[in-house]
Amino acid sequence: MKKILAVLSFALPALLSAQTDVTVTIDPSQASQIVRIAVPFPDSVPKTAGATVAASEEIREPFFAPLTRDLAYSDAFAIAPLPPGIAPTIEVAKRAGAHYLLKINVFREGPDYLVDPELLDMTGASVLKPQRYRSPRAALTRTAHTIANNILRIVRGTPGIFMTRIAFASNRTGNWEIWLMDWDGANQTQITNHGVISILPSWAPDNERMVYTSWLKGTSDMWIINRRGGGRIRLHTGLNLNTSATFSPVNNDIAFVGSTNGNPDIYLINDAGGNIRRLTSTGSIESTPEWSPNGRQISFTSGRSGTPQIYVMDAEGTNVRRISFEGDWNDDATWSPDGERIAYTSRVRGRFQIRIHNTVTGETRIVAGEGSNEQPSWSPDGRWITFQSNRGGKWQIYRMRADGTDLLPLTSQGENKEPDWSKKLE
Amino acid sequence: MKNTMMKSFTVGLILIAMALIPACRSSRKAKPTTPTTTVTETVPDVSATAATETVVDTQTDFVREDPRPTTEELPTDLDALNRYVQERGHVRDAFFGYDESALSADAQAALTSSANWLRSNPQYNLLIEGHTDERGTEQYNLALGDRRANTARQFLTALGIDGNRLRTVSYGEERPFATGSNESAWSQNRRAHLVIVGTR
Amino acid sequence: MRSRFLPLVTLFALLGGCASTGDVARLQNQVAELQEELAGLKRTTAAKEEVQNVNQRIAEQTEQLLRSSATLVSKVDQMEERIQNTQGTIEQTNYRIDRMAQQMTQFQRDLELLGARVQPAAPGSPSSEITVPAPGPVVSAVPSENPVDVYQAAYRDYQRGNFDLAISGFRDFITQSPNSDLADNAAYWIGESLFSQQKYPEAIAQFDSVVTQYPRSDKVPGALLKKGFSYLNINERAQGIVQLQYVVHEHPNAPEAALARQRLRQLGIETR
Repeated sequence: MKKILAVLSFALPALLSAQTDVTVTIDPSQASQIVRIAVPFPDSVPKTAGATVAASEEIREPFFAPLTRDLAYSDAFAIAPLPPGIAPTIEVAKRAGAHYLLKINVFREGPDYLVDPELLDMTGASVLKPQRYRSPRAALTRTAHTIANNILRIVRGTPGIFMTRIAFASNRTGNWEIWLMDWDGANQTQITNHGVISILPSWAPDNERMVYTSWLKGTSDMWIINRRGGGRIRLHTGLNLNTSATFSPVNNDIAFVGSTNGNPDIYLINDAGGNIRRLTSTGSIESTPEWSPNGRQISFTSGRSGTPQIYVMDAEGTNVRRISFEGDWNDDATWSPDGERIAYTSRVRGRFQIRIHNTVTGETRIVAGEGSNEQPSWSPDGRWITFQSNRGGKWQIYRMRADGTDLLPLTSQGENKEPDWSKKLE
Repeated sequence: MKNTMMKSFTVGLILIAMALIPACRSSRKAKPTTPTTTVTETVPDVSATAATETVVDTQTDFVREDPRPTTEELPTDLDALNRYVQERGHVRDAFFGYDESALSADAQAALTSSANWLRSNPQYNLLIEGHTDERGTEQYNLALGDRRANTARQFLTALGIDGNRLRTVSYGEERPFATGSNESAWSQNRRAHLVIVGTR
Repeated sequence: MRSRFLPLVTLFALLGGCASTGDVARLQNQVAELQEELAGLKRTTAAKEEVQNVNQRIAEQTEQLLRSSATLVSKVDQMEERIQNTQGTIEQTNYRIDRMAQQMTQFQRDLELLGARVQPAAPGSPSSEITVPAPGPVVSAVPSENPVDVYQAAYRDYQRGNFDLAISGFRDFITQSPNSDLADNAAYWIGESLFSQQKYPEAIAQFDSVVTQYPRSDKVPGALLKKGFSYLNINERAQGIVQLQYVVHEHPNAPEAALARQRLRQLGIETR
């Protein structure tokens, strides 16, 4: 009996996903096309006994807005406009050209909000596993991102980036501290409170920890901290500088810039502060290491040719080659998640721009525009780049597609810089 | 790939040979004049005192014969002391050219007078902060600041200052002295800033 | 290539120094003379003022001596910066030449393709005033996969961590284009892919073939060093050490030599 139950509960999701496949194969061209989805504002009719319906205005900003934003920016969906004042039925949605109708009910139970999403295809069949989301008001936005991720996974079969977070440095408190925000700029929270300069945050591959540089002890040191601001440890290197630290995507090594006698080089150290290895040994300045996604290559900046240029080496420090030949100051190299592209900051006629180098073909092109644009970081699905720009007079963090379109400012309070997008999807 | 390497090597040899000749000549011209005159102009009395003490280190014979033991009243508060020595030019910051970490004649003169003060005030240590202007990128500038601080440090140790008295830290472009996006602000920010710290 | 400039830096420093070592020696002589003079003065009369005078002159000389050595240090720095700039210019020029060479190759290939396409039409048409010179034996009109595409696909697989695919892709490339400029790179990437998979015995054999097949390749120091690392990773300490020492001996100026020295030091073996 128990066995049968277990089999059933395994079979159920399989059935559901099979059904999803069916809905997609109804229109084969749909897979490569944008799926139109109708998202009426949550129902105001109570359906659950004992719960009250959430007032529409209290859920618009924390829930409905981020949900529709996620879907609209997913590259998979377009929002089908529904006529106002008419009950959103399948027929109405169909007439609006939708492929799916997302019906949502939101209730209140004490301090908690209960969210019931239902995704219907145009035959009226439900394609989303029935699930109720319970969260306090402060976590409603995360519920919205979770639902958007689930819908994307069901319809497209790919994980979404809506729960990823961007670490950055902000001086809005009067000092540079480490902060976090959601991928759409919402939910900005302070992680450090050192009261000195704390900058250059970089995520570990598990999305749980970060490493950053702080002058907390008078000199610059590397610190590891978890995403809630706890578990802080200092990495003792015995070297100067200790900047630009970055976690290996495949093991517990951290690459960073260390210096002895004014000679900055690329070093490795493990995340417990042991096993220091030096990877470069030139008399020139080396800085800004970054791992390739397969963990086997490290890009870095070097002044060995007179100006700062981008180089790549094997993770052992062997096989060094230069990859940037245009621009008289290049820095901040960072790899796309598939390892094919490297984005970096490149100075062209006195202004810094984001340049994208293809590691396979060797071709490069410039994206971004006004002002100085620096410190790019890829979204974990490789579709977006976040970076800092002073185009508005102050340093702020922006987000754009990898081709430079759909530019959006993410920050506005104080000055903000050095965004680093978390590495893991969901 | 291999051919171009050889080609570039030969080209490089020629270029370097060309660069060598003027380098040797100009340095010979510049050296004896500039640093000496600058030092005597700006800090005549301090260099004299300091000089006497240098001799003390090497020539023990003259220790007791020092004719003018300077009893300069120094502020006890460190902030006040730093203002005092900077205002009088006893301790002076070294300024750098754009994206450079080599010391100009002016920077050498500034460090020479600072070395003199440190020699005659052995009870103090020095923190050397490396700073850059805002025009480069932050990460590379942190490394450049480290290099500048250490260039200054090496110059001071070459002048006989004990390396154990000198500590360095880089701030890159993170703590500018002057704000604004013009050459006067930028040139203010490209420096090795010398800070007198605690007694030994 | 980079490393070849190192001896030049030293040469540079020496030439820059030629002026100042003379100065230093002269200053040293002067100091010695002054000291003698001073000792004489002390012995005869205690002319306080004179002692003071000489005292000060010694101080000045000493300071000048120190300063000139300090100046020398920063002069070497300046020269180093100048050499780096020169090297940067050379690299940029090389890059442009390489790009142009690539474009030429592409151009040539396009021309050959064009020739191949024109050729079959020629015998049929009687009005063939324009004779297209056949560029050697005409191969198949439609070329098989462009070798560069094969190489790039393999490299893409490597970057994605698909090491098995990368290895077979690079092998195909070498079979197709054994004389290509990229053949040595492909051979190295096979070794590196095996190394990434921690298949050390296979990696050793592959790095070996990089060195024997392409002895003049710029990948040789890297291949030698990683061969040594592979031995150490499978606990063949003696073999590993020999390999690392070989790198230091054969390629003393390559960045790989510094890495080898560091690893040897960790193993408790000093190198000169």
